[in-house]
Amino acid sequence: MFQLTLCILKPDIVRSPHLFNVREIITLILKRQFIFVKSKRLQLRRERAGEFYREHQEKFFYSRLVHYMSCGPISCHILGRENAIKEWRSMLGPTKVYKTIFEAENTIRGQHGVTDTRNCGHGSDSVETAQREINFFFPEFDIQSLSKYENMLTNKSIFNKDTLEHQL
Amino acid sequence: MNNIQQPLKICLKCYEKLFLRCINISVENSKKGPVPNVSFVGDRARLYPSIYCWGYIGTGALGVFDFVNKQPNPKHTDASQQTRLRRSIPYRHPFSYEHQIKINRIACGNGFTLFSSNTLKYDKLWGCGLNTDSQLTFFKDRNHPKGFGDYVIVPKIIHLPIKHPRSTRITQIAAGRAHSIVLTDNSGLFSFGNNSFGQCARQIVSDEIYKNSMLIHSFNIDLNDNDDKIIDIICGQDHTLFLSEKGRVYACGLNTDGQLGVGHYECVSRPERVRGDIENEHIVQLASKGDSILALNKAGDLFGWGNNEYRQLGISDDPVDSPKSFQCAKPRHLNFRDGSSLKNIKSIASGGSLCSAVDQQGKLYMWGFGLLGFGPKHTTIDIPQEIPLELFGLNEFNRDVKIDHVTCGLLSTAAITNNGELFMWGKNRYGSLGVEFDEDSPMPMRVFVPARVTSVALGPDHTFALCKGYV
Repeated sequence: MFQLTLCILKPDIVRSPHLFNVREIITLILKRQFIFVKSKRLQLRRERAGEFYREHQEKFFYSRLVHYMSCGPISCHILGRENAIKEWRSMLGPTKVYKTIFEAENTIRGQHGVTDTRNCGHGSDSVETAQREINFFFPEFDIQSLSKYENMLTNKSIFNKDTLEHQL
Repeated sequence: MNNIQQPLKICLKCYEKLFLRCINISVENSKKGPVPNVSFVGDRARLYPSIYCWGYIGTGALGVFDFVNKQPNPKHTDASQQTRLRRSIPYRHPFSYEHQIKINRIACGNGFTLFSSNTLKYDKLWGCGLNTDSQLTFFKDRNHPKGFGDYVIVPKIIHLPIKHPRSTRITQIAAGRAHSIVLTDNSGLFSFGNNSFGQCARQIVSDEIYKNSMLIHSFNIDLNDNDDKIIDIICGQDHTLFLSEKGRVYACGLNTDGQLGVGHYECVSRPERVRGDIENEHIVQLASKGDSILALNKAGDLFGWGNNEYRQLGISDDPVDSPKSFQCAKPRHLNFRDGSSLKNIKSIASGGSLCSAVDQQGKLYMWGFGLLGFGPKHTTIDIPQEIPLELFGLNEFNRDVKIDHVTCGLLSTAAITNNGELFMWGKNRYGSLGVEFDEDSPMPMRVFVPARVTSVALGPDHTFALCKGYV
């Protein structure tokens, strides 16, 4: 089933040019046949980041997550693919980097993660959260237009390297 | 046995004079006399300082122009392009002998390196590597289309705004995730780089742009004591710790795990005194690389604060596995699960999820989570365990092996023995262990540096060793 998911590349990845600007990670995502539906680069305010992670508000790592997300520019993408949510999470790897570097070495977090919080990326975990998170970062995006993007890969759409989006 | 020894003796008699001139070798019967003893160097040979480096090349943190200058070969596959970006064998860094500079201190951050020399000349500090948050200060790059580069690929001089440069020495440098701190003997401290949590000890400016920033912050810490002064600085990922001569600790920066030990979880941008259990103790060493901090007092007892998710800090009053026990905002004396605590420690190190300590007898203890050096599996050990010294070369012939010094990177550990040999183990990210293979090393492995290692600096993906050798 064709799905959309939200992918956030966290400040450490976005700021290091050998990972982001040389597009090592973007090429990795493209190789897995994801479609970049929409892309945006922004810096979150602390309150806004707190709002985004409000489901973790009670957890002990909430504060450090919010602090880290608001410390530099992040890059948000809407990714589309068959089973996008599951595929993107498997590509990212488990959350805890100190364990991931041994247990899932070939994932993005296993290769580039620094510590448990500074863990490269974020992926939605279900269809409902994906919808909510896409709406959070891309309020102008109409989720009903999903079918338009479904046949993008077969139609040989071109990937725009400057905006990091596939063009219709 | 006799068949071999008889011709050997004749051979020795014939060529005795010639033989002794080349190398001092004496072969005797092992049952009666001492073991073979070989020495290649005369008594009056001098040791020269040298620097060796290994690890990830792509950030330019190694500062070797020839590594970075290679054009990618389009014929090569992706896998061989990846190996092009790593140097897993120690390489003698050309910077110090090409420019006739004696480097005294090296600090490795996430993708960048700082070098300092304690001369009275104008050039005191150099830096290379990633410069995205101006952690190496401002550099204009002619070759870059926009005039500014993200990388500095060879060590370049960092000009500090020192008032009297000919009478000031740099005494200590430290580097974190994206910030650097420099300590001088009579011009105070300098900080530059990312300040989003106050780790540069200046006020947090929201929406500040750190890229290509020309700001170098010069500051002094208010110690409330005229005889006291700052003697050491330690950077974690996003926080900074200052140690004074009288054993007091000051801290600023990110505090979401209680890394600053000030009793609350708010970030601090003006260095604050760390209290708790260490308030009346004379602290002599601090260690921090990730988010947990260890401190050592004069009597050799251990204290700790910060992140405790992997049981680096022993047990507390809170029940095990409750969220409160994962973080520790107040320094506490380390007690482990069986009620024991480490005594007579002389050197400590703290990585991301593991800790290590060396006691006065030269024994090495490890605890925490990860590849601790106890076997091929990564494990959690919450009571410090001793690593057998046999792994560091203790045997029948060589009974005098002790660990002098231990350093932790984020994911790996390095130990230096009293013979100046360097051993490393842990995660081998981009060949940062300096062993020739690319797999992780579960046990201490000798890093073949052709010199005596005096100190080692570990970044997350690159390593520098300061050595003294005959060449």
